[in-house]
Amino acid sequence: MKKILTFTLNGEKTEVICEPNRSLLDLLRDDLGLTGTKKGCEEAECGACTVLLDGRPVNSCATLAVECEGHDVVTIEGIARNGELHPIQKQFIEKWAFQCGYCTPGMIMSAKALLDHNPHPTETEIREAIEGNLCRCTGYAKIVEAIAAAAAEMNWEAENA
Amino acid sequence: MNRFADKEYFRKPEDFRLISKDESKYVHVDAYEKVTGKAKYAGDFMAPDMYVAKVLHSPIPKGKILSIDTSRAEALPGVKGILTGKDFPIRITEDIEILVQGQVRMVGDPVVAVCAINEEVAEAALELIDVQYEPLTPVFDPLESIKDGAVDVQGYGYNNHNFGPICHQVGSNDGKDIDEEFAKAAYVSVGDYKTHRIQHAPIEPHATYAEYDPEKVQWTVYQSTTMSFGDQHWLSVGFNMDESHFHVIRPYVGGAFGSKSNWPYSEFIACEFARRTLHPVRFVLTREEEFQTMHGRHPFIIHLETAHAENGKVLAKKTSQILDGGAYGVSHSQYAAVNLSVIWAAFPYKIDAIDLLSRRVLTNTAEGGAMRGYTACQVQFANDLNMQYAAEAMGIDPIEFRLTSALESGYHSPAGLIVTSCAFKDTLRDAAAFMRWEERKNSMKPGEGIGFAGTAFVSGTASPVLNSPNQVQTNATVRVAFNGQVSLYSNCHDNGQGADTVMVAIVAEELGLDMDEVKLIQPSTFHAGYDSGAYGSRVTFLGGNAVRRAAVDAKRQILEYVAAKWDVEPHTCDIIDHQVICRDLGHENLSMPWKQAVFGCMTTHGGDEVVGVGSYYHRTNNQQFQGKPSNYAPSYVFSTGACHLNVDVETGEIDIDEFFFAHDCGQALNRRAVEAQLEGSIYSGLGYACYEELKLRDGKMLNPNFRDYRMVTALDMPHITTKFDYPPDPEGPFGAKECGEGTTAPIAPAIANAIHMATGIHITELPLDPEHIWRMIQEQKPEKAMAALKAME
Amino acid sequence: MVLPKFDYLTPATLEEASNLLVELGAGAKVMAGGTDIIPPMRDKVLKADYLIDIKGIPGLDYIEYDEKTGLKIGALTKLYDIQTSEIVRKYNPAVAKAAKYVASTQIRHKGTMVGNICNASPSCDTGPILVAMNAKVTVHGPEKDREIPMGEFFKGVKRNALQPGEIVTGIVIPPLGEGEHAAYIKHAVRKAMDLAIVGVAAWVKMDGNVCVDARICLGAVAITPVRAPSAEKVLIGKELTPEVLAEAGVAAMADCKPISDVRASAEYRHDMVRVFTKRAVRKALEGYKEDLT
Repeated sequence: MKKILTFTLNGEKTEVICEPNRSLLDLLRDDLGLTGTKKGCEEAECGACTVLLDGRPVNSCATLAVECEGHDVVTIEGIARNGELHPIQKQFIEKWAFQCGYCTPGMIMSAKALLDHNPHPTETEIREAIEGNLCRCTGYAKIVEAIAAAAAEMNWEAENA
Repeated sequence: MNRFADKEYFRKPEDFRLISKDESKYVHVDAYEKVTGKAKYAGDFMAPDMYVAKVLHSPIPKGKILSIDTSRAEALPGVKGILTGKDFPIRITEDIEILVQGQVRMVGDPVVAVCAINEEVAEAALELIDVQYEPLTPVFDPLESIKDGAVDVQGYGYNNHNFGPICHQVGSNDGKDIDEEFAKAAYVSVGDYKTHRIQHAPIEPHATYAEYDPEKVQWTVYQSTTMSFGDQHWLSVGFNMDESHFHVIRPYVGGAFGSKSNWPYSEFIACEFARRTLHPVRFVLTREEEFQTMHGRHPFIIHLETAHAENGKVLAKKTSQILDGGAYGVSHSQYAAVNLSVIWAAFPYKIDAIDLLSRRVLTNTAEGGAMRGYTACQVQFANDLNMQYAAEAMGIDPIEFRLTSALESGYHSPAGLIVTSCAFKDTLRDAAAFMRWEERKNSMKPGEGIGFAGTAFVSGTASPVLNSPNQVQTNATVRVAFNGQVSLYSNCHDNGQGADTVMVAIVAEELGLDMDEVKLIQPSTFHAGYDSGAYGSRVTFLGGNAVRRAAVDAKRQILEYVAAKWDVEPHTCDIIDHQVICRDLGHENLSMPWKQAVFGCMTTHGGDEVVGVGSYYHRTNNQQFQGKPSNYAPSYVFSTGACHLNVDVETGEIDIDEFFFAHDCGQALNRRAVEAQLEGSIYSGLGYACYEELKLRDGKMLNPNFRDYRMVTALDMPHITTKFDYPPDPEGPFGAKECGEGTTAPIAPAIANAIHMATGIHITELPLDPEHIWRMIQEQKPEKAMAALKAME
Repeated sequence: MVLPKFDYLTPATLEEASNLLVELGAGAKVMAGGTDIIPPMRDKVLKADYLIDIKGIPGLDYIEYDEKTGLKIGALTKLYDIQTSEIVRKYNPAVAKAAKYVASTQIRHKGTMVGNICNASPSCDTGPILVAMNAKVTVHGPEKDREIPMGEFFKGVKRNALQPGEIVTGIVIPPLGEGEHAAYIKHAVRKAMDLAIVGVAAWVKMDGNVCVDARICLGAVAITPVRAPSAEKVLIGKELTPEVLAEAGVAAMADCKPISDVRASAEYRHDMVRVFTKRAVRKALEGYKEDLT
């Protein structure tokens, strides 16, 4: 049975009608056109579809759209701030932390979830934060470097704000 | 201007502003799109009136189709069309059908296609289709398959029915006789090796989005591809129409690793449904389909014999290699698999007498195909281990042993390969130095080991796949508008490796501009010239040379105009940072801004735009497809991988604490990108060596998913150090050679050699996951492992 | 791929949820994080006509500790919160570690420990430590509430001891008393996102150097997590020397019935039971330090 679903998407109140069997991933991509969230496996095993649900990184393929009723969802399309790329995005560019780019949105969302709660992560903590995000190109080294650099940049910004 | 262009106009190394500078204006041209999610991949295209296509696959490895009943599916509301083999009465190459026509040959063969208003209806329709099969006896083991009386895998009734292509190269230098070389050898190393089945598994599955215009009789196909002209060609064959009906657009591609240089059934099906319904049709493969039907890495069975002189030098080599090709690929399209696997056996050592045989055999399993380091990962694993064992048996240090026979510039292999730039010995020495080999080799504790492996790979190929004029590989065009704006028309395929970026950088470097001033025309088969595709490590070398020549052709025209004005020789001029300058003695103070030069040049030529064209091909004889000696590539690259690890001899787990990679890629064009490619290669090689394995039972994949097909996570990667400062190549663009494909090959043998050193187990098979290592320790009970076990107690 | 059709219900109380379960029968499934529900439903391995999402029921997301009852974890408490909880790390680090072993960061941000055990997978990561700890699950039922000892909770592959209409509300893990130590080790190929080849949890009670009581629970080597009574017998009453640990490892091999599957052979699993029984006891005695993060 179709349901009216109200939730916050990238800061905006959003209302959609959807069936319970709609995954959050399909809702975002096919109904709302937010194709930045990628479909890689539909088994919650690759992390390409990672979004933030109430600030937590989750696999949107293993989340029902209807579960988001009244909650807050942030996707890769919603993290740039005041017309500027998020520091994680900037550092991904700076450190050459992507190749094909298909895992990148999910990777950045996992990194954001980490840095939002842990501004001074160790290298192991960074690797753990992206353990559920498979990258087939980079070998992860540059991604880890970029997240560490983003943490440093965000801390500097916070201290000098 | 062609490949024989006047090189006088080439940018000189001392003037590089972008190439290989750590702090430069070298930017990633896809950066913004990729970090914001705006980059559109084929599966991201959609329209409100879009339909989706899905396929029903064979559940059995071999059988005759007795009947297909689609009536219940057709009656389902929302179903817009159904296709079976009857609708595609053709074969792509000799043996591949789009939807099978009467017989299935592997689990996963596409049988019926459905088009519906959405995924839900399409999937429901598949469930309503009834296909009856008469199962036939399959064959899964390649050694069984080639026995007399074996069942015919394909059922086409070809002579010698289960053989695909064969490559047999026999030859020697200086009239040497291979049997004599073996007879006089101080030591003959004999080994048998086996490798397993893995898959590319790009995170983006294959996807097609197709539209059809009945007025123009034209398809627009957004295809997840690394070979768009191949797609266009085979679509034209499939639909029996001229190529000009197919506009194939390569959008962003989410990784390929060899898997997207094919022409998957999905694109034919999407196009046919688009034609029949006049709606856009999207077809995205599921992860399971990706595993089952997108031709992963060939399993190999290798027999090797090498003859060594007293000092360890390789005198001669014999090999017999059997590739498990799976159910398809009898044609020339799979010739590369056998041909390349012979080339790798001839490298990276000076081997003056060879007898190298490779055969691709059919079985009723998923088709094998090109994958990153095409057949090199398998062959080099066997060859390098055999070198290691030979060194040990002869009591010679393994680094010394490799150095004694290592390839050098100027060597002509009896396989026809001509070595130009070559820093292989340096990579071996650098790896040994990094690992402090001399100091540490005799002081390892039980369970601890260091392993090295040296390999070579091609930098570009001689095969443009399609029959092109002069066998040209890439056509590129650089257009300069009157306001100085530059457009690059290039179809060099970017699958994530950064082809778009490097091509823009090459043009900007030659023209003295910044990268953001060079606009890449988003590639498609209509918008830019031919490019053979992103395979065979050809993009930077062959495509880069073509693009550079196009840029230099445009530059020459502008310099000729300015030089005439200044009354100097044009080749004494260059464009440095937006200024035309002159280097001729006494004229050094002359300069003209870029825009002014362009405007003036066009004015002089009646307003005609400045257009530079470039192309590139590798000149060789065309004998490689007849198994005769030929120089396959314009240049070759050389690598040494090395790692230090500890083995938990109780569980078989390994802990790699350091991986070092030295790669002779000539002049690195972009240091960060090269480093990233090497890190990615180690990732890929480590996955192959220790983690990934597609397991089959009765021809059916047991783990076609990311849960049980173990891909390396961020927590599993070792610390990596790379080195790639070796001399430039004389022929590569700005001196560059291959990086990122062949570099996957030395990883598995380096790890295997380290495990061997740590435990004493004699390794002959992949993968080296904990259970396999544990089993070898249990079965072989080598002294070292036993000592390590004792030390653990 | 599309999920099959189902109805999605969001009861506001346990009573309502329980009534729905009774009313709707076998076609109704309870979900919290849904991470063990949604992917298998998509693969058509799991069928449900109704999903009863209990996330809206208040009071089920908690981590508490008191010296008498021990550690209490709510049905809606996410694995990630358990893994990072200062309380759990302090009072029973092996439980925090077991939580962390599950799947990936994303899964642990959505999935719960209660869901992990209710799913009753043989390779379930949090089952063995809960069994070894003699934990209990608290259950709300249509008639009455009850407690089920963890040792009686698993009934088979994907089968648990819940009766129609029953819902697990939380887990109670007895405190680690004086001289008591616990550990869980998972053996898998990858450091994340992998299923256990073998998982071993150990709880020991020491009096000086002598082990006075022990519980060993093995995961992924039988249809459910299973106790290893032979190994326990070896340990009890002895000084835990390397020889005794080795002997316990060998004994544990007799206590399991591993199968060969796509992840490992029975033979390998058997031997790993030996190795990791030994190591788990050793780990319990060593305790957890920095390796929890």
